[in-house]
Amino acid sequence: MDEIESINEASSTPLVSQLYPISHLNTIFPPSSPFRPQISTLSSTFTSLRIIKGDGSCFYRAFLYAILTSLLTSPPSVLHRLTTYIKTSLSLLGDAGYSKDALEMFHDEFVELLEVTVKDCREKGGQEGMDGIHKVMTEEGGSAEYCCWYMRPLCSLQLKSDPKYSSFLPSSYSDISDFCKREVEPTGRECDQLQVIALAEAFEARVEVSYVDGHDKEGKVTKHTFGEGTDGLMVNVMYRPGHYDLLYP
Amino acid sequence: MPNNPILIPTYSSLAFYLAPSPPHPVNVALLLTLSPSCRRINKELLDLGRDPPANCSAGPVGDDLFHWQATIMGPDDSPYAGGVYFLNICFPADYPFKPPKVSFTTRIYHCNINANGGICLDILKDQWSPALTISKVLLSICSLLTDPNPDDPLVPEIATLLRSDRAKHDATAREWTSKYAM
Repeated sequence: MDEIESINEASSTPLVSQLYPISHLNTIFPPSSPFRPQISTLSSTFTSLRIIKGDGSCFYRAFLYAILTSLLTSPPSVLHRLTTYIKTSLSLLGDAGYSKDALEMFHDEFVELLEVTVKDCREKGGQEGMDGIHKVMTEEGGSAEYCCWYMRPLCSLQLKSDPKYSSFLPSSYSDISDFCKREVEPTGRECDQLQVIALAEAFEARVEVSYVDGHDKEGKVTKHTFGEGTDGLMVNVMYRPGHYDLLYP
Repeated sequence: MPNNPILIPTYSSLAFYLAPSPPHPVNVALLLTLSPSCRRINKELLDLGRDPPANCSAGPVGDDLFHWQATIMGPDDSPYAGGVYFLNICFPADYPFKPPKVSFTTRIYHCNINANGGICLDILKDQWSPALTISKVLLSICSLLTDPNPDDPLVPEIATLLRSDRAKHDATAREWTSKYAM
């Protein structure tokens, strides 16, 4: 796992990398790596990828990046749906017992991201639009950092909204609130499958996770799909132990 | 205060903490140029004034918004009852992404608080979340005074005594309360 750690700990690592051809994974995993067979399988399905910084928020960041870029080409109704969802979230979080004062600035940044940045990038379109999203998403300490963290209370809200999630809860947590407090809301806590499912359903997106665990000599890659994504919001990620990166078909 | 149309309505309560005499008018344009962490800390300050947590108070020391002092009254159902405890709060520049640094400046006999005033509390470390506020942190510290956590001690000798002889532990804690906190 040394190669993974060396990427993640580099201080110069951007929050989200440029678009690399899928063969870039060969520079990360040496030929002797047990991950190599699965990497070559992935190479036949995906053409490119973006490496996400390994700071514990990689899934949230990858998810947000994919959603925002997806919004550039989706029908206006999808942007409208998400804007309404984010706008109503603050009072729902308040009702759920969160401090609206504490969350308001995160919420406001998210609304602005959708109403100003995404709208602006949609108008520009094409590569210029994509570059606009990339710029916002890679600015350290910038507005996207606030939006990225706000995904966590949104995830909590979703987990608390439906008792079905509680049935997946590991026994070390007394209830879903305890889980959210310890595993979802703290900055830098990694995203587990339960959070992935909740976010996919909260955003009504379709999330496809390709699991690369280095355990299959034949190179078989297990793929799980969460959420419906009925109006076209798509997120494609590769999971390797402890880390998510973005994949592109 | 001068009748200035660009004054923000809530400023008078803020001015009380920031600039007791004379209050400098703050205009909206200036407020908007404040860093996000400044805006967040201001918001918490206003909220504390509106809805202060029971038995606690907090506010900036002088005109540095990132450096506060807080007081906690020893909870009635604890050996710290009757004591007034002062705490030092430092907000990091990237607050609220990083937790505030909170420490006791009043000596206290407690297994999760050491001689330097350092506090062993999960939400001040890896369980910190930007959804938390100073108000919630102070309430958690109050709970810690009522319910010490000997399983995660900062002062192992006090934790050992708490487990083996609660009465003696509480007597020492009361003694320290009257010696240092009254």
